[in-house]
Amino acid sequence: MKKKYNFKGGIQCISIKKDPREYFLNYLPDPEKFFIYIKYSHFKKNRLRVKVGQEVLCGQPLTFGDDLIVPVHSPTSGWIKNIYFNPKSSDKNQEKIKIVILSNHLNKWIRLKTIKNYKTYTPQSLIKIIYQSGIVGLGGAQFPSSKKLTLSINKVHTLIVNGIESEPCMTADYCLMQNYINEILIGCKIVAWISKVKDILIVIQEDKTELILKIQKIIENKQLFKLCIIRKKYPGGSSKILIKSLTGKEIPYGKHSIDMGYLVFNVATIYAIKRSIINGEPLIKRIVTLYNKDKNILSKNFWVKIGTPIHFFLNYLKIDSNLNTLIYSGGVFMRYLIVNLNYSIQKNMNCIYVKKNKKNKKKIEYPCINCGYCVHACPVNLLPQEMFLYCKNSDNQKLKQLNILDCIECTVCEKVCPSNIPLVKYFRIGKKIQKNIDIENDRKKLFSSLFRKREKRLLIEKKIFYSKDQISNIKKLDIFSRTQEKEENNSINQKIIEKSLRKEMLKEAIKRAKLKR
Amino acid sequence: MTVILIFSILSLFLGIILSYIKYSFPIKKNSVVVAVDNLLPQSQCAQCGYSGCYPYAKAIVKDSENINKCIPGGSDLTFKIAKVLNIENVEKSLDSSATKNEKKIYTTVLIDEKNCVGCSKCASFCPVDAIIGSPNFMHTVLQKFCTGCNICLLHCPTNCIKIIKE
Ligand code: SF4
Ligand code: SF4
Ligand code: SF4
Ligand code: SF4
Repeated sequence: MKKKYNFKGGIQCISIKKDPREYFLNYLPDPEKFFIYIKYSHFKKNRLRVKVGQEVLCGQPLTFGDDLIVPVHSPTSGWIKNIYFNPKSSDKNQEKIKIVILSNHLNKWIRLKTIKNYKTYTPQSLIKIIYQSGIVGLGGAQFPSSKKLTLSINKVHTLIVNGIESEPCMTADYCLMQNYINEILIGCKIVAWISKVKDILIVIQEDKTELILKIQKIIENKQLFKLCIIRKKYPGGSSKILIKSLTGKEIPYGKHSIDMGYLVFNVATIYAIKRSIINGEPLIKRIVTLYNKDKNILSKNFWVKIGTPIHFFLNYLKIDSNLNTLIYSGGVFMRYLIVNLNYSIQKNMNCIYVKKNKKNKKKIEYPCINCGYCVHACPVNLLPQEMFLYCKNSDNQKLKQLNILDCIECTVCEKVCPSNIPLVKYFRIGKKIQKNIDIENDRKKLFSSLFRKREKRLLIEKKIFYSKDQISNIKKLDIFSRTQEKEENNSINQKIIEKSLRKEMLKEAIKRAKLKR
Repeated sequence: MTVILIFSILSLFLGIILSYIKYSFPIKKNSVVVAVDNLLPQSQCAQCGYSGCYPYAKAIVKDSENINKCIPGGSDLTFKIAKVLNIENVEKSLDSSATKNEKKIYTTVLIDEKNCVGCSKCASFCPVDAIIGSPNFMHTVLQKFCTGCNICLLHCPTNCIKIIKE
């Protein structure tokens, strides 16, 4: 029996009764319209590549991208119906451009450049292909994979393939691994070749026995690969906790796992990297789990194109989206309410959670009774109880001492709290304040250092000016003396002239005197 | 061996002298002034009437200068300083109109490069060297370093500098 890795805290959840149909992949027909949202800000060069009315093909890039924003691709062939620009929203992270694409249901692809032997390419060119394919971390963070890979070159020794879905209702990654395990292993090799790692750890939860046996059979004779089994517990999927449970090391806030020598990738990201390099396909679709809480039968996995409107997705499955149902993106624990059903499936949405809205069962927030359940449950060794107290009193210095920025917002503490306190809501506000304080302090430091630099510069300039002045003073003196000489000469001449003039006047006077006689 | 001994004794004596100097002549910095200075936005724009943020902080603490003179900080800053200095009823003690000015810290400026005549007035007045360019050529603002103090706006003869909100 292999060693099972574990971590402190967290909660064990009863796995929901699985329907075998969940593991088959279902396909969704193309909707009429796709909505693509693009991030945009004044200071970045993420420019559009298309115009209104232009025809696009499947997989055609719509933007140029920036060094932090990857290009976005058209999910269908058709034409661009409209481009909306919403500059008013003050939120920096919000998408400000919305492109509407009308599909012509032909799905004509652009010509794809396939690569058979990726080892003939340099890592840099492979990273460029990954960037151009618009691949971001599909686990939820949406961090560009190309950036992660460039940072990781010659710095990491282990690649961790994250195949864990700790949320009890999500099965998207599991489903992907069941169906495409060979392609994922090729993707692992590509990543290993790019960043020159020596070990590849594939991490899976203990209850996926079928899959474990399958992978074990494949990687039996391969030295590079290793299989790690982790306890089924929430939250195991977060990269911080994953590294902690595998190695026992903690990543402090502000540092990345790459600095410790570990490169963490989600299986879906690795699959997308394989598709982009070997098949040349940009990232335009992903697997999304639909989980309907009230009708467990409807939970299924779908290949969904990015940009599909959520109301189309729900309509196709005959889920009525009226006021009685709440629709979240994300699972049971980490979830965000989707308010606008015209919003579309994004690259980081791996689950859509539908729930009946029960109005009468409103939770009442009782005061904290200091039971300490949350402290035991927190997987990153924080003190949620004290953090809550200081959040309420907005004591920012104490919050910083308690490392509130290390909180991964896993909502475990909220779930175990007997007083129904929405702890994470408070922590989010607290974290935002903390981040703002940090940003402001950084700005102040930068500005005062710039000011000091300028003063130094002015001082140096002054020095140069004065030293120059001395030289010029000497020159001026020189010129002055010369002009004086000249003036002297002139005055001498004038004296001579005056003398001669007087002489002539005298002569004339003598003449006149002679004539008078 | 003796050389090492001599030098070690010498360095010990020097160390004792240095520590004595540090003990007897400590660097004096008023902690309240530092606290107020930390609150100020460090734009060093001199719009408060002092040559920089530190002199203004000093004036607030020592000469009881009005606390609402920093224009980039706005009314938010006024309240923060009031909290540090334990001043109550800020709104009453100051002009109500003056306390309502908006915070300008998170803004930057942009030069309309077509209209710039290259007089380099803005560059010589920018307190953080955020404007680059040379005389008789186009000038431009480095967005990253601009503190948004809007000093340059006052000095441009062609009015080609605009405020943009971030
Ligand atoms: S939400 Fe934050 S404080 Fe609460 S258990 Fe998770 S990591 Fe700990
Ligand atoms: S107005 Fe504000 S930012 Fe400008 S020098 Fe004075 S205190 Fe500093
Ligand atoms: S560019 Fe203008 S607004 Fe920005 S810091 Fe310099 S003087 Fe102030
Ligand atoms: S003050 Fe105005 S015109 Fe003169 S250099 Fe600056 S931007 Fe150009």
